[in-house]
Amino acid sequence: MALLEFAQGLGVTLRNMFRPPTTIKYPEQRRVLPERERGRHVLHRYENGLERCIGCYLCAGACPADCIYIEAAENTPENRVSAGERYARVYEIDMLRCIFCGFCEEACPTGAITLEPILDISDYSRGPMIYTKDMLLEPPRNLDDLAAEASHR
Amino acid sequence: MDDLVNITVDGLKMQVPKGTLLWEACQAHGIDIPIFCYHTKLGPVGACRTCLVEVEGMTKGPITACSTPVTDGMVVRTRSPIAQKAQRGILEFLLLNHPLDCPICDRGGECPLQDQTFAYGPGSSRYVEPKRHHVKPIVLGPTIALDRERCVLCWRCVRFTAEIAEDKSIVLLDRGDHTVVGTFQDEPYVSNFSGNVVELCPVGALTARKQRFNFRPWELQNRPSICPHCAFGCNINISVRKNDEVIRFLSRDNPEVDDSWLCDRGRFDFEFINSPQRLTAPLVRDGDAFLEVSWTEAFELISNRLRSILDESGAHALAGIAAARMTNEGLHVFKRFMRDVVGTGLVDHTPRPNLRLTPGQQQAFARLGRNLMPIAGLDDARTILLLGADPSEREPVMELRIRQAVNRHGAQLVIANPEEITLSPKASHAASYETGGLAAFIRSLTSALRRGPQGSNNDDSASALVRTYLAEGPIAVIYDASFPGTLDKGDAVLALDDFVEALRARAAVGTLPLLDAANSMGARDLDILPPDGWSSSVIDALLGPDSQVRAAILAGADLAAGAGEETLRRLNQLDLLVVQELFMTETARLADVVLPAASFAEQIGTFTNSERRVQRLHEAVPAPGVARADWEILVDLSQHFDNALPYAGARQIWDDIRRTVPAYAPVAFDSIGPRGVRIEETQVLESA
Repeated sequence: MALLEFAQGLGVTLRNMFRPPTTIKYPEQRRVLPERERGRHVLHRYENGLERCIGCYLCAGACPADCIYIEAAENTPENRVSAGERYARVYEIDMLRCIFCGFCEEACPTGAITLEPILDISDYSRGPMIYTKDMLLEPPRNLDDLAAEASHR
Repeated sequence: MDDLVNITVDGLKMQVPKGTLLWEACQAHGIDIPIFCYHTKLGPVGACRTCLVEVEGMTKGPITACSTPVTDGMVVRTRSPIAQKAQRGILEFLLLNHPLDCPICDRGGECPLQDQTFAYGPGSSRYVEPKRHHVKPIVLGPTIALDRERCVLCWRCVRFTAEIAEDKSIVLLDRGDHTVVGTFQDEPYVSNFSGNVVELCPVGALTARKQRFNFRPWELQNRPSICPHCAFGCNINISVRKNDEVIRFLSRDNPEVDDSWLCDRGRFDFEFINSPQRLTAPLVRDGDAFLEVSWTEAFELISNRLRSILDESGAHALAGIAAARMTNEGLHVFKRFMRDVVGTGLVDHTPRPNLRLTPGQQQAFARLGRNLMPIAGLDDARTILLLGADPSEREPVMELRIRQAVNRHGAQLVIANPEEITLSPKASHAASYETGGLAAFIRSLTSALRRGPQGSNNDDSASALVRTYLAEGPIAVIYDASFPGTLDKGDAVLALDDFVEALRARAAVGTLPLLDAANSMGARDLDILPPDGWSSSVIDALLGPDSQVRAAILAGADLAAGAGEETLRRLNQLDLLVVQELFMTETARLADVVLPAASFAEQIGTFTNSERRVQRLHEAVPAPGVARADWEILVDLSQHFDNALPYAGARQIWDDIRRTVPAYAPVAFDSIGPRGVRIEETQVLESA
């Protein structure tokens, strides 16, 4: 009787030996994540290149982990950063504190901040884990890319 | 009681004094009615209509609670369907053209329009048409920016400039839905009191240019304190962000002092607290440079060198000068350190009037300092007499109190000044005298007074002034304690004392001095003066050509600022110069040891203002680096001497002040509430 159970157990082992592995060779290989995965934050721009963020602090106010630090400033005609009067001069997120709840995204009145399917948030020390605005902000898209995107649709 | 009327509000029966406004009566009984244009300090205007309530028997519909006095038997419903519909309608109207840019509006989070809309407004708007647009922001003046889209036309700023500051700068332009706030012909709005309109504005239409987009209200904590910039002692709230950054000063209403107004210097001059240039560690001179050292090393160095100087040359080789902006606690410990620990009497405070009084004149000066009237007493005065004093320069908020006394309480303002001052247009009578002729002018008034009713029929101007304005009390006499422009200040003191004496024989009189710094009165009461009082100055003794002084401790006293070659040379010659400072001042640059001190916002303590009101300071932010309160530094330094000072906290020092200064004896530290405690005249007289 014991032998039969022994064989059954080995059967499970043998069956799984010939299955393809569930792990992947990260970071060479990347898993396809769901589109709405709440990973790292990205600060977005409008299509004309201006930042969406207006430095209103609502994300910081909503954040249960208190991981967002902002300093706002006023746009000038010479230095126009966002669409309105106000923009975020400093925007920092402490990724070690963030719990990826997505409240910041919900609080944002302009859709400036979203959690994107980006998972590789790691480093060897704490300092670099405070993401600054230039790390979070998406690069300005140039107009050729926009035209190409439009023709694909 | 004839003066009370019975009214019923929302079924609640209440008795209120006749003539009370309905909104005030409701507020006093805990019934909230939304308001915008009404402000307790500005009175009703009935412009915004938000406070509509239903009154039984009123056939014309809902009425404004803020501008309707109660009448006997009134039955009011503030939450009935009619009242609610009216309030909701008005709020919907106010929001028609409001941009709803709350996320970037500095007022968002502490905005009455937000609050009222949540509490009383409609859930949504039916208005779908495009909103009115204006250029924004409009720079209204050096301090204020204006956003016309956000404005709800409540008139508060207009009424402030028309009724309180009386510069009539901000006005409403155009008509109907084109009405906007602005200045006549776009003249810049320049005023000593411009910051108040930012605090008055119930929306984010008027913002301080210095503070635009600097903060969100929900990050801030307000900590009560006292403005450190003049002796008037306006009450403030320090708004602190993240527990260590001072963002702004707000007024904290004390009807007995500031009546909720602040001047622009008091409101906007706070950046020194957070300045990166603040001293953060004790520094010791090393050739031309300074080395950072620990407190212990600094104290050991000071005590060793001080002891050897004292042993060689005696106690008179050390002088100490404290800043009059130090707390009472700091000044008291300073005095005890100098007199009891190192044994020198050469102490003084600065800035202070250098009066050079004879003993007789000193008695007169002390008498003048005793008969102080309360600031709020200006409202009851029949005549306010400014003798060579310009409150707008020295204690600006007093200007607003004087205007209020004249406008609302019918006081007559008499100004005696060689020049035109800001308040001159407000005066019932302006007398001029030659520069330096204050004493002679006062004497002419005194002799007119002494001539009595018959003699004062003379035709000369002094008699006319006495006859018209000084016949009846109460009379408030305001003088500048440093007697600017007067050479023989002692003579002016005698003349003034004699005048007040003569006046007192005829009417009730109160005097108020204009002083130099936030705690000048405290420095005077705590006797931070040379042994011969007001007759000499330690600064003169220290800097004089035949000075015996070899070492000096300067606590916040920047003697080198703007001083001549001779002063710098004298300070450089000292064998030991210890400076306690917030910044690397010109004096600190000459020092052997520089000790970092805490500012007024970083310590617990008290100030005494010019009406002798003791007011509490609280620790709003931590001091930078290892900086400490002035008293803490001196107490720790005293541990390196034989007679160490025993104090462990401000409370303990205050108790010691009560023991040594009889006038302060009745005031327990914990009894100093948010409005401070004024030391009454009788208490000072008893102690004298």
